[in-house]
Amino acid sequence: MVRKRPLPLLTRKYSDVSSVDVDVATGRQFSLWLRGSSFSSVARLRAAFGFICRLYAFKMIKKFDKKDEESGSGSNPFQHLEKSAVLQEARIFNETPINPRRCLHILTKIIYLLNQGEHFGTTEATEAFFAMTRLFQSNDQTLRRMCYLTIKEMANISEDVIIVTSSLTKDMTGKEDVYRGPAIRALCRITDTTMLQAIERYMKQAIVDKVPSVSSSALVSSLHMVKMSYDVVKRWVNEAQEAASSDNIMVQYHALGLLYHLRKNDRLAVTKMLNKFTKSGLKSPFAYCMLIRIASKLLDETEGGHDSPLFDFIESCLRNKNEMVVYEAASAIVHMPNCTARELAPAVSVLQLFCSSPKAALRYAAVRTLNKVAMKHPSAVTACNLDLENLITDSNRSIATLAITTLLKTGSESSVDRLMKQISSFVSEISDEFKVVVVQAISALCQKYPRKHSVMMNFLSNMLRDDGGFEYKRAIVDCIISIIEENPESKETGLAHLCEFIEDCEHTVLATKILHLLGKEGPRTPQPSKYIRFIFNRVVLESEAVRAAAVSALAKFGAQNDDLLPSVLVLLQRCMMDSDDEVRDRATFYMNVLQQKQKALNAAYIFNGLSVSIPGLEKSLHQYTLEPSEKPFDMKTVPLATAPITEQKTEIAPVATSKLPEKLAPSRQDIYQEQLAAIPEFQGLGPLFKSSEPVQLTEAETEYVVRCIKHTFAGHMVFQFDCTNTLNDQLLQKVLVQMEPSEAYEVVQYVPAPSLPYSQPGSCYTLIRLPDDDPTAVSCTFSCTMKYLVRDCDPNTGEPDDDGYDDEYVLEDLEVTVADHIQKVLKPNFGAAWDEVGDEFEKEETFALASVRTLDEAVGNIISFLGMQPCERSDKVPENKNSHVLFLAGVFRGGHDVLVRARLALADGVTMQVTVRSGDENVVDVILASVG
Amino acid sequence: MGLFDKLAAWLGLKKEVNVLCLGLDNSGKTTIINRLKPSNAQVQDIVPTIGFSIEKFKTSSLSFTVFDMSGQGRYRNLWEHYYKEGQAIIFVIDSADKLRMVVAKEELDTLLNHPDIKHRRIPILFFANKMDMRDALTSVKVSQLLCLENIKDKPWHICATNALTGDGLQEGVDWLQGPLRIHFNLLLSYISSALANLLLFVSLIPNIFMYSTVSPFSSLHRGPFHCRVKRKQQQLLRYCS
Ligand SMILES: Nc1nc2c(ncn2[C@@H]2O[C@H](COP(=O)(O)OP(=O)(O)OP(=O)(O)O)[C@@H](O)[C@H]2O)c(=O)[nH]1
Ligand SMILES: [Mg+2]
Repeated sequence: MVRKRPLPLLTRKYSDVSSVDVDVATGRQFSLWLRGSSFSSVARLRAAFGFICRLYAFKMIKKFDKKDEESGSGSNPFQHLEKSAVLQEARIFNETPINPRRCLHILTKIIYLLNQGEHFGTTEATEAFFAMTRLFQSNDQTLRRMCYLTIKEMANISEDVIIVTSSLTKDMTGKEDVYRGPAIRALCRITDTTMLQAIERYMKQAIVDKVPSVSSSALVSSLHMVKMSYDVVKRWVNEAQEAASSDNIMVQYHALGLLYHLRKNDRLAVTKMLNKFTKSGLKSPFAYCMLIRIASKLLDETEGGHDSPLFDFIESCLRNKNEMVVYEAASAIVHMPNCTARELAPAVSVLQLFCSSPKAALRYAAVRTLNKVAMKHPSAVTACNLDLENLITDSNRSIATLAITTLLKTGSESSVDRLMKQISSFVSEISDEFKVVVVQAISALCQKYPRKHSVMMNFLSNMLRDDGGFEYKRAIVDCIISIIEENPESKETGLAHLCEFIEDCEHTVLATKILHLLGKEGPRTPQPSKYIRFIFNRVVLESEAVRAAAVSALAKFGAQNDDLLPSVLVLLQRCMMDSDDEVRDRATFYMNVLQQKQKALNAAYIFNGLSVSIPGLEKSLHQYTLEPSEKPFDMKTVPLATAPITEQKTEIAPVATSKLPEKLAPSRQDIYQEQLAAIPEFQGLGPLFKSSEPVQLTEAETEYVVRCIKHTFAGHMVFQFDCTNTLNDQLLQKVLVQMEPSEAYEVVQYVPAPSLPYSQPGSCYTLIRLPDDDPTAVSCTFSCTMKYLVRDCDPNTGEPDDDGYDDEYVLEDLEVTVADHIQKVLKPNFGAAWDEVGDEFEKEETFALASVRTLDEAVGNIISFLGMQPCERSDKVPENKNSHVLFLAGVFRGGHDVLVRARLALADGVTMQVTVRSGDENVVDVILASVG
Repeated sequence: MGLFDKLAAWLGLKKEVNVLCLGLDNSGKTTIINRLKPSNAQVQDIVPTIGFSIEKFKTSSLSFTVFDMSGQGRYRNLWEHYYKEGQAIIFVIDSADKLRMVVAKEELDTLLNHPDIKHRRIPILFFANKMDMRDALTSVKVSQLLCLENIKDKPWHICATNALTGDGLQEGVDWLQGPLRIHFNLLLSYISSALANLLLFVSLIPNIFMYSTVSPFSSLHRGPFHCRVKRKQQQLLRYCS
């Protein structure tokens, strides 16, 4: 078996504006394709095709081809390669005279192995690489080009690859045109910022070379270098500009790509560039497509109205001669956020026309786009219904699937049955990827026609039984789960299907996810006992991760259902004999908790679990072991997990704990915690309690752009001001934001940003102390002024003047509200948590919300005002109801749980009865005071 | 064409020699190699080499493949990757750079003590380059400073050169052909003698077979002739081993 090395996902390239360089990515693409990863089949095929083409370019493949034809099997000539044997063979590179044919063959083998993900150690890779460098003696063209490929593949695994720099510069400036382009690409792969200066002159010449392949290679390579050495590549703008007026369509396209990437952070420059090119017109349809994408991105960012010249440009492209450009324009328009029907009409009619094109690619593109926007613009898409109906029987199954699913999304309830029947007739013939599209359509449909859920559920369970990959199965499971959550009456059928599925499920992630769901929902069904069997089967049959998840699920049944408790305890007893540590630990833990028979314990340790940030916990524990102390470890010192993460974590926790701890990516807040801890002024503030979403303190298009993130600690707050200077003739220094509080908040310290050059964001901080004598003072308004030293500078070189002057800039006011003191915490079982906190400090009050018209609106307002986590999906108000109960959970600064139950009734405005519970009386008062 | 040359052609062996061109940076290695190339292949501007580059040129009897290495400090440790296949070394010294003569000596000593070089009779040609510079040392002085007289087990030669005009280069290359040809001819004579033995051996095979003891008629033909063949066989075996 070949060991796989993790590879970056390069396919993204194809979907964004920078999709230029196929060459570099192709090798990797091919390997990813072989690994059967989940990319769009188009990209995958393209990648595979590219690589195979290149292999075919080398004559020796022919031999194998013949053999294949004879044997009639599509077997792979490189299938059984052994790395060590190949490296042994590579010794012949050192022989003179060189035998190009044999060397070629061996290089192909090496590249093949690399693309298979075979791991090469540094020493062996370097040895092979240096042996390969000798092949530059040979003038065999094919061999030389294979060397370029090898250099690119080995650039990151061999040492001292710069040894070939001079050889490549020689080829790049030489007389052989076939060498020049590939040599440039290889050269840029082995060059770093310091070396780039040495080849800069050649790059500039190559960009404006009259041979298109040379110019294109140089442009594309420059594009790659931008990421690494922006400042050097920036100096090549004039050359790129010249290339952009090339007659060759590829060169023009690549030049435009480079120009755009050099300027993309400077909106004004991008606008200017767009103006210029849209006026002068371009030859290359590829460049046109890119212009359209740039224009629509800009429109999106600036929220430009549709009377903008950019929109006019995109619309004018609908009348372009080239179909690709026309499609790109139509697709851009239908994807725009708020398009009126009138603006949409010409784009949709173009797509409609494409639906009946004889070219499959155009039909596919059109129907895929319609499918994507079907939910957003149902009426526009319905206009194409007739054409879509015709495509249902298209011989291309992908087109047919997309057509049917589009119709499903927009069709009436009555057509659902017919379409579902149609699609069942060939669902087994289409690829996983399109099956996922079908599942997504069903999911959308269920939201629209909840009454149809039984038809859908049936269909989904059949699909679940069929063969299919992970992505496909996951889509189905997600869809079933969302149906269960939306329609309580479908819960039992849904759970039954999922139970059946995990009886034979090879995907650990899905099995644990379903077990988690069973633990949550199962105990609350009328007949909880029937799930126990399915869950316990997992303990007997599955891998550790699944067994651990099953144990947790079992415990939840025991905690909730008293009559099941004895049998659950017996089962847990058996789990305590498991061979895996994690499974045994969990069983022992749950066993002991359950035996106490205390509701509060069950709630805290079985239903609702820990709500701390896992990386944070790890760090705190590590810290605790480093500084041993008499005091027991205090869970309150651990930063809390932000709510959405809690939810995810519980789902993946079983996998993570047993096998892949590194999978726990630190959350946004963990990152802030780290950054703030690195600033000496903020030592000793304790763990970071909460970080707010960024608040804009300036308008979008101003000289300076400032946004603020509020970080709350136990007794302090830190305001982080992220500032960007958008003036290219100024350098700001000693930047700080002065704050004047309206209440008894005390500004302790300012931490200025030392320097703020043009367009490079920087942060300054303000530390304030919260008033500790009045715990109810939770809200405050600050007036903010940015103060700094200005040094004028040359916009071209960035060279600042010697002296500067002080200046200030008034920002918008910043509000601190009660929400900044509360961290969202999801309580999966709110009732249990409510009982656990108890009614010692319970308070209740009734309010009338006169200005609110609907329950939905009231719910939304309360949630955003208190900044607490809605539980039990109570943030969704069922239709046609005039009363509702909202459950909110959170932790108040200082570590006290706080729970809110709000009963809402709709009658001429909304009346709200709020009940608050917490372990601390002050907290209850604060909440009620701020609601009133 | 001499006999050996003809034989070489007949055997399909071409007189290709791999040469390593070493020396400190800025000593003029690339300029020298460029000068030796045919005039239509010469380039105008020469920049410091990064890594190495492969150049080719021919003389009347040999065809050279030169590995022009970079002399900058951080690349010098990469030279050794190419020592194994070098059949000759051109070592270039900037004779006007007195300050770094010790560095050049150090590099030379490291080279001579390298396991891939130490035990081989590999010819070394020294170019005391930039002799046109006003304060350039003479080739004698250079060879003293580098202690070249200590090199006993390898053929070597030093000549003063000016890479800009080409002065002195031809002399050096002419010298290089000598040891290389000897080297080459030795190889050929070894091959041809081995070949001759083989021919002899083959020509004797019928005899051996005929008079060997396993022959059914062997007892009938024992006699002086038999002994002579036996002796010849022994002679042959001794010769071959
Ligand atoms: N006056 C004079 N200048 C020379 C002579 N030979 C070379 N130069 C100059 O010396 C400089 C360096 O020459 P290169 O050939 O690049 O030196 P190198 O040894 O290849 O240097 P690296 O590639 O860095 O190892 C160039 O500017 C040459 O013009 C010479 O004989 N006389
Ligand atoms: Mg050089």
